Amino acid sequence: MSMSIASEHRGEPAIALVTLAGELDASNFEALIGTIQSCYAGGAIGCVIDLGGLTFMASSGLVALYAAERIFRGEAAPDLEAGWQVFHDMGGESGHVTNVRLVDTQDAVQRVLDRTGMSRLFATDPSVDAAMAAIRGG
Amino acid sequence: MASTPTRRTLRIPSETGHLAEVRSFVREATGAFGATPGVTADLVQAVDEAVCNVILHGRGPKPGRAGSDEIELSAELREGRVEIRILDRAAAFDPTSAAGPDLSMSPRERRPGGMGIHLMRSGTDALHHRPRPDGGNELLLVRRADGATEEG
Repeated sequence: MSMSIASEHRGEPAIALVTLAGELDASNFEALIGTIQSCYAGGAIGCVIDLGGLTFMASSGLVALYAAERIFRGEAAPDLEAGWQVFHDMGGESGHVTNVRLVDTQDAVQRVLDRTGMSRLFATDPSVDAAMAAIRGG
Repeated sequence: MASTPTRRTLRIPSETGHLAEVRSFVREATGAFGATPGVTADLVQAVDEAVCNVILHGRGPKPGRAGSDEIELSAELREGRVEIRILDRAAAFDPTSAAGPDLSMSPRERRPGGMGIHLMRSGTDALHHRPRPDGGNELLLVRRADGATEEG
């Protein structure tokens, strides 16, 4: 197994904390989307994704992050067979998403976010508490 | 040329479950060739995206179509450049001619696709594709081991 996924709900109303460790690639990004769907279905109002233990992220990981944003906007999970159509289906809003936030990105992962312009979409916080507070305050 | 490091090779089934093996192969080879950590990270990313493309493309849209059953990789150091070659038996497909994303646009407004291609280009000095005479594709990824920018 190249990646572990742990999830829990914190506070009331609950915010999901999803903690990843290992390498996120085309073999496991669908499992991450499944976890995020479960968190939303379980009543979480937002999602903090802790990437501190993630040492590699492929472009398929970006699809999973997009899916998270979409799921937490209350939309159906994207059709993975449509691949990058996920991007096309998103609205025309600009700026960071408000209820999905990233924490503690390592250099290799941050580089992927920066090179693909995704860091303009997802805010990164220095700690889980800061991310939770930003979602509740947002 | 006794000091030239040995050419390394890897053969994997065309399945995403083997991508971690591909990344380990690239890390070990580039490390043995004396590549900088930044070059190694870029090549790991670029090769992962390239092999993933082969796996997904090789599946093809038609059930029963012969896909790419195996993928061969080789890594060599030649005149200060790391050369990683990916050989497959999938339908002819040239990723170097595919359009990349328009990074000047908001991620929300972009046309879909191209992120993997973009990471392949940004992590290498050169990408060369050619169809194999007996079917399939050969993709060569080149990057200077010391991370210096290629001139000319």
